[in-house]
Amino acid sequence: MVGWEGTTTLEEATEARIEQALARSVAGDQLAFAEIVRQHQGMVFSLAYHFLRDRWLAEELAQEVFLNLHQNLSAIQSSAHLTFWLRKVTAHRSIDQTRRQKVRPQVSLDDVPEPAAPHAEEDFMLSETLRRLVETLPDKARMVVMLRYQEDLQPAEIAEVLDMPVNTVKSHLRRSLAMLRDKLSRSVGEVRA
Amino acid sequence: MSRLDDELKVAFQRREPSADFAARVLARLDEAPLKLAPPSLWQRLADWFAVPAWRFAAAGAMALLLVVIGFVVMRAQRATNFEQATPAVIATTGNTPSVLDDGVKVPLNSAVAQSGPVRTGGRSPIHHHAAVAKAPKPSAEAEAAKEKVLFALQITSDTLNEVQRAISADRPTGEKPEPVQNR
Repeated sequence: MVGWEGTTTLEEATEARIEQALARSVAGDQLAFAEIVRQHQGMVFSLAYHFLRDRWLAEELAQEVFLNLHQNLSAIQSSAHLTFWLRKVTAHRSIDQTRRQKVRPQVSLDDVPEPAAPHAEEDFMLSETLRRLVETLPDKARMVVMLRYQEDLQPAEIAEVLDMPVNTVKSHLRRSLAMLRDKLSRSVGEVRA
Repeated sequence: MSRLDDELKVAFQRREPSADFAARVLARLDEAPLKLAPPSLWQRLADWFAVPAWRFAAAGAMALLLVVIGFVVMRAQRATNFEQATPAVIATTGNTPSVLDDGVKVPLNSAVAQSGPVRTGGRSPIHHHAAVAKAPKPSAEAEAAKEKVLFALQITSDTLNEVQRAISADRPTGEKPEPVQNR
C-alpha cells in the first residue's frame, strides 16, 4: 500500500514537472522543451522503431514528431494530452512512412523461421521471432498490437489514438493474437516431435 | 494474462534512442526557422473578413463593372434580335410604306400572310411569332389604301356577276352556259 501510494506520488510529481515544462516551453524556454523531449523520447522512438524496424528512420521520424510538437505547443493542454498527442502523431506518421516508402521488408509469414521451444535462455530469440511475426501483419493491426503491448493501452485508448472504432481494435487484437498463437504452437509442436 | 501476452510485452518493450537525441532535436529547432501551423479554415474565413476596406471597395467596383457589362451585352443582344426579326415582319405583313403605296401588292402579301409563318434566317417559329407580335400597327394611310383596293375589287366582282346574269337570261332554257374563258 505504501509502495502504491509512493508510485502515485512519483507519477503526480512527474506530471506536475512536465506541465511546468510545458508552460515554460510555450513561453519559449528551450531547456524546458529539452526536458519534455527527454521524458518522451523513449516512447516516441520505440513506437517508430518497432513499426519501421529501422533505427535511423525511427530516429528521423521521432525528431520530426518533436519538431511538430514544438510548432503545436500552444495546443497542448496537459501532460496526459501531451502523451496522447505524441502517441497519435507517431502512430500515424509511422503508418504513412511505411506506405510512402515501402520501407517495411515484405516478409511472408511462411518465410519467418520457426522459433525453437521456449526456454528461459532463449527469450531473446523468441522475442525476435514474435517481432518478425508481428511484422507480417497489416499496418493498422501491427500498430494496434504495438500500442497494446508496448504502451499497455486498453482497446478504447487505442481506438482514440488510431481514430478507429473500438470493435475494430478488438477484432484486430483477436485475429493477430490467434495468428501468433497458432504459429507459435505449431512451431513448438514441431520442435517437440 | 497469457504467456503470449507476457512475451509480446517483452518483445515490444521501450527502447531509448541515441544519447544525443534531445540535443539533435534542439539543434534542428535552431536551424529551421519556426514554421507556424497552417491556419484553419475558420481562421482563413475570419482573415478574409478582416481585410482592409479598400479590398471591399475593389470588390464592389468589380461587381458594378460586371453589372454594367451585363446590361450593355443584353441591350446589344436585343438590338440584334430586332434587326433579325424586322425582315420577317415585313415579309409577313407587307407593312412598309413603299409596299403599301403600291396597292396591287397588298392582296399578294396578304396571301403570303395566310399561307403561314415565313422562316427567315433559320429562326425558329416561336421567335418569328414573337417578332410578328412586336410589329407596329399599320398606319392610317395604309388602311385607306387597303379599303380602296377592297372597294375596287367589290365593284369588279359585282360587275362580273351582272354580266354573268345577263348572259344567262339571253340563252334559251335547257342550254348550258359556255364556260367563261380567261384571256
